[in-house]
Amino acid sequence: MVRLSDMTADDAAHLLSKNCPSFPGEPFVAGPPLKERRVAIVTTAGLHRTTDTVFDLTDIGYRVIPGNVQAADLAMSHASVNFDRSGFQDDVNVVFPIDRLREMKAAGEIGAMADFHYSVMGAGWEPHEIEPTALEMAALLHQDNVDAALLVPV
Amino acid sequence: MSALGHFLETAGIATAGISLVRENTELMRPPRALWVPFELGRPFGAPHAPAFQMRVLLSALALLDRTDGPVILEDFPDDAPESDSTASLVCPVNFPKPPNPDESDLLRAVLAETASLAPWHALFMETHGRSIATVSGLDIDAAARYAAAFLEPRSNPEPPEGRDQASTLRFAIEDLRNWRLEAITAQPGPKPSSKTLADWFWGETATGALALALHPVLLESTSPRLRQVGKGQLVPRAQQHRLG
Repeated sequence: MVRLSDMTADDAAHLLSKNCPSFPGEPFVAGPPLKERRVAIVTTAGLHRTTDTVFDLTDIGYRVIPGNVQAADLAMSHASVNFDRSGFQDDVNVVFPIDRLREMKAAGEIGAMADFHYSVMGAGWEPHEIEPTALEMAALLHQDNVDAALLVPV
Repeated sequence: MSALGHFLETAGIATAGISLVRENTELMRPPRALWVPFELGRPFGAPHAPAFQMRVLLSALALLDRTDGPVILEDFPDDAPESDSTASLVCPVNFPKPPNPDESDLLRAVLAETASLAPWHALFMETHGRSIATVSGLDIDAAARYAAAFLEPRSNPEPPEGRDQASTLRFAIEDLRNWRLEAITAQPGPKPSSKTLADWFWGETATGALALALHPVLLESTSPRLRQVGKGQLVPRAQQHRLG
């Protein structure tokens, strides 16, 4: 179990010092039931295929992760040294639940999986700076007929 | 993550997110979020716990069927399955930690450590079929030589073609650390906790000593990027008590 109260004082203070602007909560996009939705994963874990360019500090671009990606093809180049990597090392699904999503598709609990998932590196930029990247990813998600994104931090 | 949720919804994509820091999510008000009481780096709780991971995933995606927003912030009720925080690890190299280690002492110790752990890393590769110690663009001994070279006076190590010098250094240290964690977790015994692994790496290994020795050197560098690596991308805050 890890909560802020379980962290070192420095780690907790650092997390609470982050710039956290308040968004309006809207729009609040509706859609079909979950079992009819086409779902993509969007992660801020700095994941990418091993053949892709690594993320540099302040890199605000995205990397594309094909839906048929294998665990051995995934690397992580996140700028922060202040989180655990050993879980991801042992099992990618602890960060990027691609196998669980495949199981949900097979069980009919979601309608479909996206052909492509997306990754950004969630450090070194302010919240408003991610807007152009988010809008570009949204356009690509629409082209993939995605109507639900699972957002996963690290 | 909350900002991404807001901007994707603005563009018409419904989102449901995981929150690792509830206090920040409360402030930022993404449309739908599931707070989980797990450590940073493990948003789905624990490795090789598929049933638990599935519960987290189902709980997050179930928020998409809710109509009582905007702004839904739910709490996942359970803690992650625990690793063994009492499990101890064996450092295979008797590294004496000289009081004023120079570059050659540290490099020799790091290379010896790698050689000693290599059979365990090979076993990790057999069982996992992958390594995440690949981001520097250097093989594991070259990563050690590259990092140790920064301890030499007036050195200016050359990164691989197309790579940045400072980024290559931080990724070299990351590769060396991840490679060692892969090797040590292939050894028999209960799965150690992430804290046990971090304490082992930073407190017991030659590579941890190398990274700690780099810290003051980088802070004095004339390169702003190297100073930036030294300040915030080398030693985790939870391990900085080891710095002199």
